[in-house]
Amino acid sequence: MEALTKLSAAKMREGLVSGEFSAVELTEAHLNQIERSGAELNDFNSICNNEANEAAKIADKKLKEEKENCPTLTGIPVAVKDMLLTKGIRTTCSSKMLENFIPPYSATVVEKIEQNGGIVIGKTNHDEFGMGASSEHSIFGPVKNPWDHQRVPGGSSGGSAVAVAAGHAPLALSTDTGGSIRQPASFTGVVGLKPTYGRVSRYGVIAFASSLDQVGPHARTVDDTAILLEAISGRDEKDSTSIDLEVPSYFSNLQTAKKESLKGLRVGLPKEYFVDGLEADVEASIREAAKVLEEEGAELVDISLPHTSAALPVYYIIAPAEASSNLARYDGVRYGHRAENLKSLGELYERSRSEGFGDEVQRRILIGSYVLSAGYFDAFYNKALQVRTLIIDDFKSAFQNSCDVILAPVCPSTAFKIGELSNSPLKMYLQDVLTTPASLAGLPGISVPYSLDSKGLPIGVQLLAPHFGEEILLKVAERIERKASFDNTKFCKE
Amino acid sequence: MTVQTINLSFLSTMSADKISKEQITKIARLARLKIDEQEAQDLEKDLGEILEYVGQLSEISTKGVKATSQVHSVENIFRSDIKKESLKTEEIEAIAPDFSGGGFRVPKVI
Repeated sequence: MEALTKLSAAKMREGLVSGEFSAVELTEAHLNQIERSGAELNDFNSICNNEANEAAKIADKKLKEEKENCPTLTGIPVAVKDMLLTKGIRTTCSSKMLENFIPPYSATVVEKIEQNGGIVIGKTNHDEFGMGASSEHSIFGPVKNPWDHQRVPGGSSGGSAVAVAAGHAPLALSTDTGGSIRQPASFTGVVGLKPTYGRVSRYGVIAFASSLDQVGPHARTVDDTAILLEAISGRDEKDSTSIDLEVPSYFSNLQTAKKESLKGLRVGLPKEYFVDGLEADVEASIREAAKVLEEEGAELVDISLPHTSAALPVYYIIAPAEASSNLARYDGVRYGHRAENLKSLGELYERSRSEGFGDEVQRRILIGSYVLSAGYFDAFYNKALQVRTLIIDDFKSAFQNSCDVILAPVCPSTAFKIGELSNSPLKMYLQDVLTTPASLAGLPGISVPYSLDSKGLPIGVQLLAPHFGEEILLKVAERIERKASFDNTKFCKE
Repeated sequence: MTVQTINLSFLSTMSADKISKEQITKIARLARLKIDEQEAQDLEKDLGEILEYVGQLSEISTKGVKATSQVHSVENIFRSDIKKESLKTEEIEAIAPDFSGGGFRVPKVI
C-alpha cells in the first residue's frame, strides 16, 4: 500500500470509511512523519501528540458506528496556523508577545474542523502576526522549504504550506492578508486558496488587518482544497463581516464540473502582471498553463488592470494602519507578555510591547501610526482608500466586460534563499506585488502548482474570480492540476 | 534575484522632507513603543524608504473617487440582545500576567 502520508484527504476518507486503515494508524503515520522531518523543516510551533491520539480514538469509534455518515473530516489530520486560537492548546502567533498564551476558546474555523471530525495535529510556524513573505520572522526561527532547505517556503503561512508539502498533514488552515496563503503555496508546490472576504469567519483569528484578513485552506490537491473550504465556510454570528450566503457543495460540485468542457469560459491575462522582473521560467510556466485551458475549450483574452502597480503601496498603507490599531490591544495588562521590574503604567505598556513584538511588527505599527497621524492622514491613508476603489473598479470592469476568471503569476520569482531579502524590508514587501490587488478587492484567489523552474523549484499559477466565485476557481484550477508536470507528494514520505 | 517589478530608482533621489528621527521617536511614543537611539537611526532609513515608496500614490488622480474601507456593502449587522455564556473569571485569570481580587494588577498609577 502507498504510504498513508502521501494520500490525499479524499483517499484517506475512503480508506477510513472502508476500514482499510484506522484514524489511530493515520494519525500515528503523520506524527511519525513529523518526527522524521519536522525538526529540520521547523514547520510546527507545537505538536499535539496527546490531543491528536485521543481525538483519533474517538474518530475510530465514530467511523465504526456511522461509517460513511460520519462528517467529512472524521479522522483526518489538519495542521492549523498558530494565529488561529485553539482552546487549551498554546497559540503563540510566532511572537514573544504570546509565547505562553493558552487560549480559553477556539476560533470558529477550528471548532468547525472539530465538528467535522478533523484532528488538529499541530500549530504551524509563520511570520510573526502574519507580517512577512518568507516565514523567517518568527521567534521559533525560519521555516525551511522541503524543495531546498536553504530556501524560504514563502509566508506568512509558510509552516502550513510546508506541513502539507512534507506529509505532516494532508490539510492545513492558514490566513491570507496580502498573499500569505497563495505565495507559500506557489513556493512549496501545494494548492492554496484565499476565499472571498466574508466567506469564512475570522472569529478567534488573531487580527492583523481586518479589512483584508481571511482564513483559507492549504492542501496537496484541488479536491482536498474543496473539502476543507466546504468545512470552514459560512456565516458566523460572532463575525459580523462574514456573509450570510449559502455554502455550495464545493467538493461534489467539483466532481460534476470535472466532466464539463471549458467551452465558453473566458480567461483574462492581465498585461500588468507580466512585467519586468518576472522571472522567465515563471512567465513561461504561466503562459503554458493558459494554453492548457485553451486546449480544454477556454478562450484566452488579453486584459488590462491599469492600477495594478498601485496595489502594493495601497496595501502597505492600509495593512499597517489597521495593524497599528489592532495591535494596540497588546498592552501587557490583560494577557500576553509583561515586562518585569516596572515603575509606572507607561513603562509597563512601552516595555511590554517593545520586548514582546519583533522588529517587523514594530516597523509596521510605526508606519501605521504615522500614516494615520494628523497631518499625514489625507496624504497617505485617505489617498490609499481612494486608490483602493480604483483597484476594485479595475477588477469589476474586467469581470463585467472581458473575462470570467483571471490567470496570472502568483509571485515574480520562485522561492528565494533564507536571508536573501532580510536586509531590506521594502524588497521583502515587493514579494506581494501580484497578490495584494485581489486582497484589496476582497476577491477569491487560488495558487495551483503547475511546473518546476530550471532550479527545480515549484511554480504556482494564480487564478482570480469575482466575489464568491470559489467554484469556478476550483474547476479551472483542477484542469491545470491535471497537467502539472511534477509530483507534489515527493517529500511526504522519507 | 530580481523581484523589483516596480522601479525603485526614486530611492536614490529621496526628497528632503523624509521622516526624521525626531518624528519616529514621537510616533513611537504615541504607539507605546520604546525605541533607542540606534533603532531610531535604522528606522529612519527603513521607514524613509517605505514611506517614499507608498508616497508614489500622490501621482494618481483620485478627484471625486470615493474611499473604500471595506469591500462588501453590508452594514448595521444586528443580533438579538440575549445573554450568552462568556469567559469565566478563572479563565481570564489564567491568561492574565498579574491578577488579584478579580482585577488586573498594574504598577501604582497615582
